[in-house]
Amino acid sequence: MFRSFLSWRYLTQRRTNLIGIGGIFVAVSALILILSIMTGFLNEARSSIRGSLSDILVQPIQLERENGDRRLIPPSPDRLLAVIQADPRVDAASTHLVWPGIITQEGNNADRAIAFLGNSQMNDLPMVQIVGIDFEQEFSATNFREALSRAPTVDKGGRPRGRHVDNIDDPFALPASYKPESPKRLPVVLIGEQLFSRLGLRQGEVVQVATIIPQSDNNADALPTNNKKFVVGGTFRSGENEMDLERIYVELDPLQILIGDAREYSEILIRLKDYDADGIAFRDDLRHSVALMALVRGFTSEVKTWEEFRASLLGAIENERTLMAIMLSLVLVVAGFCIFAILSMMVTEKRRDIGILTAIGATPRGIMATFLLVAFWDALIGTILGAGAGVWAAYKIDPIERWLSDALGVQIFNREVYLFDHIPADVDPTAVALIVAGTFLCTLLFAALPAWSAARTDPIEALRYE
Amino acid sequence: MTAFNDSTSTNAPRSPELSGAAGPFVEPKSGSESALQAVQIKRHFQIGNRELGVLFGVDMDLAPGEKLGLVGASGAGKSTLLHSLGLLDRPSSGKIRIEGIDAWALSPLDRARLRNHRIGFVFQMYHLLPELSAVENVILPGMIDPAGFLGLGGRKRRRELTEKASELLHSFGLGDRLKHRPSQLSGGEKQRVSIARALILDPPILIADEPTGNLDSATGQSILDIIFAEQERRLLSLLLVTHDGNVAERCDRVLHMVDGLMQSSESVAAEDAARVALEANEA
Ligand SMILES: Nc1ncnc2c1ncn2[C@@H]1O[C@H](COP(=O)(O)OP(=O)(O)OP(=O)(O)O)[C@@H](O)[C@H]1O
Ligand SMILES: [Mg+2]
Repeated sequence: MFRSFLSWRYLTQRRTNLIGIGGIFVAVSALILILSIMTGFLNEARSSIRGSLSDILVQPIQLERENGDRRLIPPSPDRLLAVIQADPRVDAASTHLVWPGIITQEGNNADRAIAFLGNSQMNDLPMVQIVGIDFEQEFSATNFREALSRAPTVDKGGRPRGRHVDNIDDPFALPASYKPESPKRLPVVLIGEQLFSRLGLRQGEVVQVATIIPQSDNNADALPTNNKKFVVGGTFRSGENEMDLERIYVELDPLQILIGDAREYSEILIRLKDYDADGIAFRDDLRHSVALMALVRGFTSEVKTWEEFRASLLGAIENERTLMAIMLSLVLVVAGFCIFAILSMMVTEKRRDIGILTAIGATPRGIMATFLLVAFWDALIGTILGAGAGVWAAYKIDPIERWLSDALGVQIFNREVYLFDHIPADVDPTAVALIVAGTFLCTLLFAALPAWSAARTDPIEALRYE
Repeated sequence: MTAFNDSTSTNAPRSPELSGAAGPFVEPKSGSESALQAVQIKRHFQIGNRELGVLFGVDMDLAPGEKLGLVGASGAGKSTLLHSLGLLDRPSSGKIRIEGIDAWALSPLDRARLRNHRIGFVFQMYHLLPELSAVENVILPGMIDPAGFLGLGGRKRRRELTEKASELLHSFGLGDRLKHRPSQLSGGEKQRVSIARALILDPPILIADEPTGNLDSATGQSILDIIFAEQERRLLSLLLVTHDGNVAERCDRVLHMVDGLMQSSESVAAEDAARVALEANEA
């Protein structure tokens, strides 16, 4: 019991221990805070990577030809949809027709724009992905409805980047602000808010969407193009920057007209009732049945879970998280060194005490325990305070950042760049527990050496030392 | 030696009945009849590749309740011998018996227990822990139970020890210094604290290495008064190293150490005889 008594006394009487506690405090709190923010960012990134994706994605390769000109895959999605919707695990499915195109404002020459297609200098040419949907299907199978109703981000001038559609229940209805110039009824296009703000579009404005039409004739010298007028109905914000910059949604019919009925669909998005439980099994079953029915060519790559579809990005995120954790663990090693230095100093300083303690009956093991306990107290106080501060800061990161930004007069977190209206921070209790345990382990490991050397101190040498 | 020869008979043994009992111990005793025994202790130190001999086969025997003085020139090896006797420094060869037990053959834990319970050690340099108050320094040996587990039943034991330590310090005239740090105490006060620390667990053996060496003579006297009073009260087996002939006078028996060897008992006996003759002449 002298161990706890004496180690506590050493701890409170020696100023240098404050450095050790401080070191551990800073390491633990910084580690928790940074890891929480990192996790928050990554989770946010993960959900935005999922973005407009549903649970399962079917992308048949439709241009494959065999035996002359025969298409292997039926051009209509109906049979595929029937198979999918027959499965009790399926909640909803939505058919997409995806096509590349270019969007220009009225007055710009769409043909001229297409002529610049191959020119890398024209990198501000608004190449877009035109997605033809049935909005009711899309609402039930993906989070498109949320993307349409999400509050737009604001630019530097405080103006919102996007504009909601007039009626979320009928997003492809003509907006009230549209002033028809001709009696011909124009279709409506929904535009990602980034693209909308970059092109300086307005709701109700007419835009040109141009594209290339595929030819069944292999000998065609030039690619025929087509273009069509659309009315801007409103914007969506998926949260994924790329999506909001490169995607436009239209209804299936006008898109099919635009591309000359070349294609009816390109992918089917499926939402499951319980993706976590059934995802993989459903994917396998679907692969099997659609291959049997020759609805897809039978490549496994044609039926994927959303995670498989984004595997490289998700892998990068996981990788990043692991890398972060490893790099940040170095902070713990630094804290460990801090303890090592302080304890080594203390053992040298306390040589005489060690001799005295031996003389009055302490065992080497008891002396070792005394110094290990000093490190233990350091670790205990440091981690408790550090964990508390780290978790608190993670929860309060937004006000803290705002206060710091105000105090320093610089913007630390640029909400423009990240497209988040807050700093994401997810406190992971397992991570906190691991950090605390790691700190203890690290501290005691680094303390072991000086404590061991204390235990080996020759009492006579120590007592002769003056 | 000169100091010893200068000594007068003013400091005659204070406890005639004990000194009488101790009187017959001329021959080394064996077994549990002796409190502390050294048999052919040799100690040499390795300095670089040279070997420095300090003790060359020392025999010594401290009977229970005996007051034994040890004198000798500086560098004679007195402290080295005491460290071996106090189980702090393993001799190169020879045996130390504490109440009949071969102490250096024991496990480190058992040896620590002997140091803790059976031997009180008083140093010339006091050797108090600067972070602890007087009373905490005194209870420290009681807080060390080499086999004990962390803090179990500690609170009660600590309270009892603190009470006992306060009483002891009170009786040493330090009643108003209990909470003081060693740095706030004078040399004499520090030495009194260190004596209290040595005695807190009521060990049967007290070893003191020049306890007055750093003190002026008046303070030194008061320290010695305490040591001898406690010896008498507790019937301690006392081994006292001193340079002061007057101090040696207060012991039952005095051993002389010269260059790592005890002076032969014959010559000591001869000196004793001479002293007795001198006293007889004076009387
Ligand atoms: N650890 C050691 N290493 C080397 N030499 C030592 C060591 N310990 C003691 N000595 C030597 O042993 C000799 C005896 O020392 P010791 O301290 O026992 O003498 P002493 O009789 O107590 O002297 P003093 O009266 O001055 O205290 C000295 O010459 C000293 O230098
Ligand atoms: Mg000495």
